[in-house]
Amino acid sequence: MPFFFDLSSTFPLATRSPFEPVVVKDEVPVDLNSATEVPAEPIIDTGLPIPSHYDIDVMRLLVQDPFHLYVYWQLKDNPFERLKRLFPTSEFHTVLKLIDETTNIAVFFDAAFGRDYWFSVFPDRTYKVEIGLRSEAQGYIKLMTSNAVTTPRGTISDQEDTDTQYQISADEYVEVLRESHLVPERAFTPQGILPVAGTPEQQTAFWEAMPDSFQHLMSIIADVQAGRDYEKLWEKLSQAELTSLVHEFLSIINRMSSDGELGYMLLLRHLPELLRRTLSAEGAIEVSGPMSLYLAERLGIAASEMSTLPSQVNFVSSSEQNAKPGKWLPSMNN
Amino acid sequence: METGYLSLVLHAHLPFVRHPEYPDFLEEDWLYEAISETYIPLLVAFQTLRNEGVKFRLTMSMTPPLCEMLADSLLQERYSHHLDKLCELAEKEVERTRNEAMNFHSAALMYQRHFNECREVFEHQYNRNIIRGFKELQDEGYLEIITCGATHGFLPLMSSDEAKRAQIQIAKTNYIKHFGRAPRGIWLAECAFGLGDDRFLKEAEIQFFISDAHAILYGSPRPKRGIYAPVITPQGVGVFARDTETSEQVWSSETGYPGDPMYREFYRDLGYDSQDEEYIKPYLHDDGVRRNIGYKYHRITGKVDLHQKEPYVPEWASERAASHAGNFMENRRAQAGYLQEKLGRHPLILAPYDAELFGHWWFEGPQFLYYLFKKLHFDQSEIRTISPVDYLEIYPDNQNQIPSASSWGAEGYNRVWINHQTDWMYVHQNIAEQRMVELATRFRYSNGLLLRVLNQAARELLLAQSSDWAFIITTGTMVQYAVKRFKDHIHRFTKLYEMVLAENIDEAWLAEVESKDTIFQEIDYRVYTASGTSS
Repeated sequence: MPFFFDLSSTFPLATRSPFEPVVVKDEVPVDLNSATEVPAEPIIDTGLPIPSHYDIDVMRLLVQDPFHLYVYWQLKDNPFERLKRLFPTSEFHTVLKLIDETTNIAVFFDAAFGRDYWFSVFPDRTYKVEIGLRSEAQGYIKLMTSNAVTTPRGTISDQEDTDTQYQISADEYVEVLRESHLVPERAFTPQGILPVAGTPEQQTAFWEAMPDSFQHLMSIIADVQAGRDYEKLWEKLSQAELTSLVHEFLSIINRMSSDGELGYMLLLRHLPELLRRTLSAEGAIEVSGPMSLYLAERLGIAASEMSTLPSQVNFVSSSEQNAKPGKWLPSMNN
Repeated sequence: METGYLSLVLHAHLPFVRHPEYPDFLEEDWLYEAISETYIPLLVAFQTLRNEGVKFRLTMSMTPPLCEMLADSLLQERYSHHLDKLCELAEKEVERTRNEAMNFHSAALMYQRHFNECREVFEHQYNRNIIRGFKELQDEGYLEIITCGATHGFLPLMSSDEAKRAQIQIAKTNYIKHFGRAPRGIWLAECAFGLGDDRFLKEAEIQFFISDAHAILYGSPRPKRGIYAPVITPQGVGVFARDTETSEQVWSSETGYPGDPMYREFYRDLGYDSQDEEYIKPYLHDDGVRRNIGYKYHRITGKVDLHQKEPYVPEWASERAASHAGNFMENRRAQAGYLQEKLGRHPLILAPYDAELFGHWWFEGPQFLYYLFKKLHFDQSEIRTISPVDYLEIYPDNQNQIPSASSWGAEGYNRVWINHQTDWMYVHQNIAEQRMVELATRFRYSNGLLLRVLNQAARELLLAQSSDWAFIITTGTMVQYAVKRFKDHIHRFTKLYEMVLAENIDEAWLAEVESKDTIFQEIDYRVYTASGTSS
């Protein structure tokens, strides 16, 4: 392919374009008989060497999309050397502290060997990351803080214009969105928000094994999307932990539209929180395999040692997966 | 009666690829193919429209790296040679098809006309610099040429205000060099907008930029007119979002025009198909590997295997382009009529495309545009083609909004450029950005050798920032070249930085690097100081 173009978009463009490269070598009638000279392998230029490490303190947080952040860091000195002198008996390990500044909740991640890390986060929130050291005896000691970033909302705004000439009713707004070709079903799938690793069979098994309340939730989303009577559907989720959130949804949806479409779009923003609460209420998360580790990371943001939620979703422990930060994140595989 | 406006925007961009150190370099073909297949055919189509008295208005971004390559004498010389070879082959092909393959003869004649026309335009009309042709059309009011970040840098992933500002300011200076006036609009690379980036556009007195639809649809407060009117950012810059329906009509593999059976098939090329090794060899690269050479004799035909494709008939394809242009126009008329009632003012339907779609991928694309503008001029009065900058004059009052951070990449945010294949790049790029600011601040006054080193450091940083490298790595084609380019520029930047700090400048090495990465001869590294001024 002589040049390269971005043929795709978040909006309903074709998933495959006729212009994408195809391999033609096998299909084209080129005569490759024995008389053809096979050219020598070209010398492969992989580029000039670049630094493997920078001798500076730097920590930078970057946004990938409404649900993912990437952080990298470099440390000038080995902090362990100094700490060993100060606290000769304590055993420290390196941790990252992801701070949700919008909700003022933080969670720790083991960062034993890396210089970078991928986080699963929520849309429309402001985050910072710290790197620090932790020990049983001394607690947490911060070394460095990253810049703050705000994840995109990833959906429509619930804010109306204060200028009356630009105010529109919810119904009119639904129409504007339709005319602008915003197709909410394409903008969101539960799997997109909570991607699962593994073969298609494993993925199906995973979703089927989800607790009843989760299945309820998924059916509610489908119904809201279809514009059915969502109000009664919400009531199905009756666990005490969900009540406040459900009411929040209800009020938003009631305020916005009669057919549920806008409410559906707003779910984009709130669904991760709802999933988290549903799952933690069911006690569905066990920190064992990579899958649950992933879920724990995704959902644990609101369940750190600083919060009051059950401890089984609290802390992502050191593990083989964690030793290679980012390499296993299922959503990144495609 | 007029009911709406149509704004076609073509984004013309290629990364800066120039390798004087090799006599023959594969990736330089990107430019040569784009000149022959896209830029010259577009230029000729626009000139023809003008000469026929057709009034039209088209917006086109020509990125600084593209302009720098089009104006580069080494690349001009190499393209001239490349084109001579294609013209030479054209004569042979006309003969060959007349004698052996009459069903391909009309296509061979078409290529003969086409490549000779390219030579006429390139060598004689514009004395090898085709930017002049585009500038002429802008000066006459047909084109509105807008700029882009200096090296197509992805602004939301840069680490500092200075780095972002430099991308915009250097682009503006370069635009003035090539077009003789300041740019009024910008195509943000990959349509990537981060909150607050409008500040740098305002500083450069840029009035508008192009975004994807969700920049406005997901913006706050809610947009009353959706994507059919611009919004104004907190810094007073206009945002014009793309209309997805119009995009789909041209892009989509299912319903889009370019997949029509009559159109030229991209993946059948004489470079592969020729059975005669000796005949084809002079037109391949030195390594003799079979590649596309731009002689394609088949049409898409339908959903059949490549070996079942039928001969290409240029006249049939032209007819189809004309009928697609008519269809496109009718759809826009219906759309505008409907929207005007809803919106209470003329809608602006904005349809942005990669320029290289027209001609390179969709061979008949320039003809389609020609027919479209002609039909719009002669056959109807509801739709007028305008540029976003014209809209702002017609309707100066627009809704204020904070657009959503967004890009036009897959899924709408930054994933195409930052993911597990590309995440390793950002520590290097960001640290080089910080170091460039450090150098510019510390050595605000410089001359002689130090001045040269600092300007070259800025060039290397800018070249490393091209969003093309991460894009290529993500899409998995030609990854090695993209990695090489990124590493080469980071390496060179780092070495220049260390030479300055060590006060030990290797002049011979500097001269060599200067001879390779020649982009932006006008650069002034002091754009990287906090104030961004060079005085």
